[in-house]
Amino acid sequence: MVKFVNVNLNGKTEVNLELNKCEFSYLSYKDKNEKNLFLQMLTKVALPKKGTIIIGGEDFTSSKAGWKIIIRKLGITYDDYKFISYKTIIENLQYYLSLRDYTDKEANKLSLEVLEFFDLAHKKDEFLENLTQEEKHYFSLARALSSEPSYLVMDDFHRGLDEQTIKKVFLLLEELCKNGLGIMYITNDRTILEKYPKDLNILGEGVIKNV
Amino acid sequence: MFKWLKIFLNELDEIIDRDFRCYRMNFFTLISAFIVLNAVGGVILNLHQNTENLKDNYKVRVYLKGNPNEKSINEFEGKLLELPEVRHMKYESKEVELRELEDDLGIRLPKGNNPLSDSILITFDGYDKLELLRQNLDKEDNFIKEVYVDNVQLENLNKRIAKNQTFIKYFFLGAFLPVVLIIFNLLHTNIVKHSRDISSKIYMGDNKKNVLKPYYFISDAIFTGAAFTGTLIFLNFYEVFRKEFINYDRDYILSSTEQMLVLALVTILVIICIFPFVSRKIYRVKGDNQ
Repeated sequence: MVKFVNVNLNGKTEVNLELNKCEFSYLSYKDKNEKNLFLQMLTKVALPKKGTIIIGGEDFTSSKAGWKIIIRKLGITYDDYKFISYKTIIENLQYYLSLRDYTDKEANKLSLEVLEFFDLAHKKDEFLENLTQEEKHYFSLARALSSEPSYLVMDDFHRGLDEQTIKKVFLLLEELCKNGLGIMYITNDRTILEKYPKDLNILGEGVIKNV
Repeated sequence: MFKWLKIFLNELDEIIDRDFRCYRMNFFTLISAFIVLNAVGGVILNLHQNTENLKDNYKVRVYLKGNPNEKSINEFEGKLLELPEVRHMKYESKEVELRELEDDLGIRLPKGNNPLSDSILITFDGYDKLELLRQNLDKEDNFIKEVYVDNVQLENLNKRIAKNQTFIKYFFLGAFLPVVLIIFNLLHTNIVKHSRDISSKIYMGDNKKNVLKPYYFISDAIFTGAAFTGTLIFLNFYEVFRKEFINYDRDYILSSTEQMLVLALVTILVIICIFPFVSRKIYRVKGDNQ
């Protein structure tokens, strides 16, 4: 599971949150900065001053040596993609996987597999600027899933997608969830929350409330 | 064993390949900036040297009473040298002075008829010290016959020095500093324009230090290359200009190319030491806790 234990987000209050396998939940937020900080903590870009983050049973905040293996278990898609502009699609994936301690051979194999799954294999040598909005979204998801994670955190993934594609994405996510993936979807979009109802957590003033 | 080097070189290659035009543009802009920086530095150095040379022209002539012997002249010179406002002095016998006067007038006076006195030409610190020097010289009235001060010449000299110093200030604030800022900005832009990629890499899980290394390497390499190229181009121009100028006006002393080279190297070294440090301080990326 992904677990936030008494994590200090805003310097005053503490956040407790749990995401289990086969669980699909939403996280809404009141302050974008808090949401960004939440995501930064999941990638160790920021560290909590207090509390611990546990991923797959291992303390993510204090681990150093095994960190690369721990982050394999967590895939994240960002609302601004976070792609490397000067690398091709396949290179982006290989780079992402190399940071998760995969060998070049493994990274290559996984990259091709995941690109084929999302029907992006024919664009593997393209730069990201040459992809359509939809393809960028799929590539972002492909990258997050390439390390075969147990948990997936998605930040406003549907933004910029048409309804048909959003529907396809949610069907895919539900399928993945059934197969054991724990998903946390971060959004404030009411239409999404109402159309695809799930457990809703609200992040506000440093506290996460389950509603 | 050298996997890190391979990865590093690969990253460099990819970054440069993708942004080659931009880096090339940056390189040539930096070369131009360094040519201008050196030119402005050259103007400042020359003005400064010219000012220092002018300062050696604050002079008063002291005519001595009677026919003092060598010992008493030496003693008197020793006394004068103890005065803090006195830089140096030159004794001139009345025979030498007469010869100079004859040369100036273009005539020869009959021998044995020398109405002049022995004199000492005193170079002092500045126009503001003149009054103090006068007071000190007044105390030696048993030895001094007359103190000759060319007030008009001294005032003009003072004005020229003040004008030079104002020019130095204006050149430094109005040209030197802006060019330094332009260079810094160009360097900083080399990193900042890649902010998205840098941030993406860190969010993907890379170490901040590793991520920034190739960007700083490229930026530093461009800077060093451009600094030396710009400086050498300027020094070549300066050498040609200096030779021409010396032919044109022999009275004006231009700084030598070696002096300019030293100035340029010191400037580059200072910039190399300070800029990357400042840039790295300014450019903050979250993370690096791995």
